[in-house]
Amino acid sequence: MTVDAECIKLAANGDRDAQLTIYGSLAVQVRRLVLRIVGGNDVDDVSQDVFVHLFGKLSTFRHEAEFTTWVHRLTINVALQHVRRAQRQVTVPLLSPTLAGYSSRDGAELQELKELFELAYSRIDAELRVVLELKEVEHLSYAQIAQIAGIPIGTVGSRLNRARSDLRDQLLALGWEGET
Amino acid sequence: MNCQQAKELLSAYFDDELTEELQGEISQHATHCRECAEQLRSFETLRAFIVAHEVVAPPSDAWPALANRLEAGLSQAPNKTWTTQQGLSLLALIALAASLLVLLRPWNTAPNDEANQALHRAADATSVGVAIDFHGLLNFPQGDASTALESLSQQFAGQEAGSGEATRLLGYTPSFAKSLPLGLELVSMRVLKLPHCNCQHGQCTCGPGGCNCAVGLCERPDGSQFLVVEHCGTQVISFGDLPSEMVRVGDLQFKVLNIGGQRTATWLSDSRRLTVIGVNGREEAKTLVEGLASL
Repeated sequence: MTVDAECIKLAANGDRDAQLTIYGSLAVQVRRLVLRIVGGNDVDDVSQDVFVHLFGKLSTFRHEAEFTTWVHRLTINVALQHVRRAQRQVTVPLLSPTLAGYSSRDGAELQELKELFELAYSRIDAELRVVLELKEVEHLSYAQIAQIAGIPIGTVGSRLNRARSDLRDQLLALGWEGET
Repeated sequence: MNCQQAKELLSAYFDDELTEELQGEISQHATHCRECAEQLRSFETLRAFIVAHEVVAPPSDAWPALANRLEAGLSQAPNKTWTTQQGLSLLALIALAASLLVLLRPWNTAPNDEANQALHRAADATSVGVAIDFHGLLNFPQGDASTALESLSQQFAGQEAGSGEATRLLGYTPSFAKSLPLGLELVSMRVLKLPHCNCQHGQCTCGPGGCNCAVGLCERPDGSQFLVVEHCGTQVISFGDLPSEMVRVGDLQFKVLNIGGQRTATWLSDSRRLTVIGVNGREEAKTLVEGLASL
């Protein structure tokens, strides 16, 4: 079964096979977006929330927009709601990555860089992470990002400016030595 | 175009979203402005970082867990009943109240059967077990592995079992009873009965109304001890709002957090969840995750 209008209709009526088809086609994409917005700790719970919302609201999908655009928007809404709810909770990494002292690009250093990046990424504003993810990973245009994020197209560029600048600042603050 | 105007358009320039004329102006500006040129180079580096940042595929039991939740008609994840988020169903509130009755019980008193039964009734009523609060169960000042074992055993009708008896009771041999890495030794094992898991009929060997769980008290060569808990992956456990971190080992990832000063690691391996309470550090956790997952 492919994800088409019939599949969406069946899934909206609770057909488990159709829901599995939709889940299978979107699971990785949704998980990636959720991961970037909420971080690693809650990614599976929130991804599951997204699909529960998705199947619950599927009957309201009007086929006027691209299905993936609709899913992106829903994913972002659910993930941002989670972030706002969790804002009171402080997430402190228990195992701090080594932030400096690497001299060669061996496996350990690359792992450190990845950890460094994850930490820096988690420290920038969730709404900035959304636009950065939609641009850099989903390769969407500013018009598409504006539609999904529900912001004016002119705001997309300024948010991306801030996102990139904040991410760079966070990396530098954590000991990143820039391009070597 | 001055530098400030150029800076505001740098992302749009970098993403090729400007008119040809503006693209040209920014390009020209960047040839003379070191700061803007450096910023554009950093955009390139960040792009490489973001794209290279791998994303682990969803765990293999993600769909069964979601399908169970859809089947149960729950709009909120079962473990979310421990937070004060909006939209709690009446059944979830009953479950929460019953659970709090259990968790507010002092540790040195006998189990409150009424509250315990209420917890189980609430779990039955919602079709999916409420989250078992490991934070509440294991967070006590004098906490060590053997005390934690007694606490779990008292709460969930623990029964001492050797490897053969555990296999008979559980329908499988716990991975930590097969082999342990690093010269670790299994010194004691209990079989517990948790509130029923979220597996569908025939999906696990727990049987209706309960969830089989094994707890092993393990000892290191230096005499220090820790606990390994193993049960169905669909059984929902909660660590409250404790800060945690995800660590990746190959295809596996595990969560690390502190419960009452004891470092704890938890992960899904095939259809079962393993939780190590009192793990020494990242390296020992990694070795245990890899060692037990390979069995």
